[in-house]
Amino acid sequence: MNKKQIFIQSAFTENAIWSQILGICSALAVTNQMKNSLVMGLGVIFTLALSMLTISAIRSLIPSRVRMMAQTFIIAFYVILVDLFLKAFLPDTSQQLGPYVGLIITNCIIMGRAEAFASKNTPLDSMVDGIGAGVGYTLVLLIISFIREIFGFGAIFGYQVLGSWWTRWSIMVMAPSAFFLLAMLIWITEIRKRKRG
Amino acid sequence: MKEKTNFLESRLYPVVFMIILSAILTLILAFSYQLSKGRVEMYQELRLQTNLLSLFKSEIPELNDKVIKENNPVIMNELYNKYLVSKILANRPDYQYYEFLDNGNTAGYVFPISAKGLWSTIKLLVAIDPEFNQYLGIKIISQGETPGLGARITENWFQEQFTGKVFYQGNSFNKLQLIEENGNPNADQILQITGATVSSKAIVAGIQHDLEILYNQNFSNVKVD
Amino acid sequence: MLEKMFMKQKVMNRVLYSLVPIILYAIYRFGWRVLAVIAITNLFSVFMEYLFVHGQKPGKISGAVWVTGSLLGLILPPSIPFWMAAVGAMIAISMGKMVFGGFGMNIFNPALVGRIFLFISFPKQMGTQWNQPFVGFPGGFVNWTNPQALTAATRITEMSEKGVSGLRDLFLGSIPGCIGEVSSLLIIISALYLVFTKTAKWQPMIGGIGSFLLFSFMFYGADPLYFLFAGGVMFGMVFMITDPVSMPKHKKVIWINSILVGFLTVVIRKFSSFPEGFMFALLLGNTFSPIIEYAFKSKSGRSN
Repeated sequence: MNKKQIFIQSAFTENAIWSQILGICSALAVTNQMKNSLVMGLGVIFTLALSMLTISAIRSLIPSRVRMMAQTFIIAFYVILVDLFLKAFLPDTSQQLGPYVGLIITNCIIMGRAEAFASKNTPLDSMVDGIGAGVGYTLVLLIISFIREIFGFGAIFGYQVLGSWWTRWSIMVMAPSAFFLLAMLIWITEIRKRKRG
Repeated sequence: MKEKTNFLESRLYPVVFMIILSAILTLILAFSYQLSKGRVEMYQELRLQTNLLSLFKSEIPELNDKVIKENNPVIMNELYNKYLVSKILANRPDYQYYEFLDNGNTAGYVFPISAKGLWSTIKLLVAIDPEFNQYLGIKIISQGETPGLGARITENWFQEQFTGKVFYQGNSFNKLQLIEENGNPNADQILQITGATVSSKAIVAGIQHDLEILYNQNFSNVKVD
Repeated sequence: MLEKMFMKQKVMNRVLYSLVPIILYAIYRFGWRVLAVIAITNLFSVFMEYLFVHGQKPGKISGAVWVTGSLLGLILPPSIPFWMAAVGAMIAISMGKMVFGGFGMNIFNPALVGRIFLFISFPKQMGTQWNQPFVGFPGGFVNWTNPQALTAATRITEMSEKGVSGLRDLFLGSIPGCIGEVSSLLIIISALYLVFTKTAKWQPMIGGIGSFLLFSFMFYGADPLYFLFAGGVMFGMVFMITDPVSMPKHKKVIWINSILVGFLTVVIRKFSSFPEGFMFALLLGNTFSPIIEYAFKSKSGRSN
């Protein structure tokens, strides 16, 4: 597989959320506004890319008995870097994302990619795979937050696009809406997959 | 070469590996923490200072909406140092409150207070005059109430209602009452938010409860007879 | 044409007949607009179900869709904007019914799913704006809607703050409230009709109402009849809890479940900020009844 194929596979055909149902918790929590989703997505892409690179680069050195511990350690390291960066340079976003940045550590997508891909492949391939998975995750976050923000606030990326005539759907601002929007998204992609073959 | 392979498979190796890995990663983290610490603290301070200052917007001539919106750390810090000073309660060393100074005289106090809302703990700042007669204003700092209902406590009209309301009169605490949102409030009434009775009540009750304790324990001597 | 499109379901027809007097009474109290609301919820319910079933086998729309549509219309406020009623109907059928596999498969009462969605999305329109009912004759029969909208005071919040209004008014239904929920008298008559024609079971009604009365008395100490006749409890205990699809099958479980729903209604009314607890209580009951039923099945299986 070349790098392009790896990217497409991990971002779309094996999308972490809609075909592996991983990383759901953060997808529910941060999708009330597109801006939060984008920042969260970028954080995940960054963490995935660099931790996959690191894990893959030292994969022959990692003792197999403690490999999960070592992987978590490396992931946590990058997540804390992201958190520090947000606190120092984007304080408002950091405030809104709250504990969810720290929770990237427990985002199953990252452990999943580390185990399934980075521990068996070359560093560059792993990094491409990590970026792919992160992009796929970000894409889903943006789709859901687009629907939630337009219905819940009448806005896109914080810009009011629907006027005052718009009645805001407060369920869309609350976390439960992400549950059924996510379910609907998975439903739609499943139907498409089956139709294709 | 053979020895090295042995070491990689030995029982000791995972321990050594983890120690080295943690040493390297922690070192880098400690270093980046030191680098960003200043900025992080500055932002936290700036947020608090802006909230405190905006409580006294009408009393501070240098402060207007434009200045608050620009939120320049240097200007805010200057204003903060000029008008506010943080203090610690004698009986509760962990509780920080603030004194508002006008030409060096105490012109008000600000107390951080928390109230139990419907879903969340609501954190707010309450400003009161130095004799504890009336509220000078409140400012909700963080809350997690229902968007569109309870979260409307952050709307300006709701918070501004408290300005000028009586806290202590004669020899007793004055109780504020809540009435329906479209009503006509008298001097002791607060308009509650439709559909969010709990959040509205929580704020009024939380403020009165905490302030009464503060007054009884620490400030009962401020009254000038 | 109609035979081709719809399943024949006599039981559902009888439920619809029992709703006719309630709808007529609602028109008398609130004007013709309420009929438009009910028409819209029905229309969009059918439309939504059609979208799901067309092109599939057998491709017929269940008769139950009319019941869902009518019940949903009856538990909305008379002043609800039409588009919200339409959204509620589409959510009720899609999220409450079709995603579980269509007629006979849903674990939640679809009409309540629609209402809860609207209630959470539009708290202002769903819970704070109530039309004053018309009084005297011909009342609402010559009006579209009563322009005097009464805001903010639902009967239950009013009761907890200003004391109760007359029991007679509550019983007959000359009070503001949701379209079909106001007259307890008519609801009782419909209940009798449903029970005598064996359309609905009496056990859940008695269990639910009994437990509701008992626990309201225990928690409030006041005359529990006031609480029963105000709000949507009476309507829900007759038309919703008896829904043959989402109701448990085992007799003992029906009793347990309905008592649980009555209890939860009181608890939610008393301790949460939501004035109306029945909607949440029944959906919670729906959630737990399969597992209670499972426990009973495995128990009786072992002892036999």
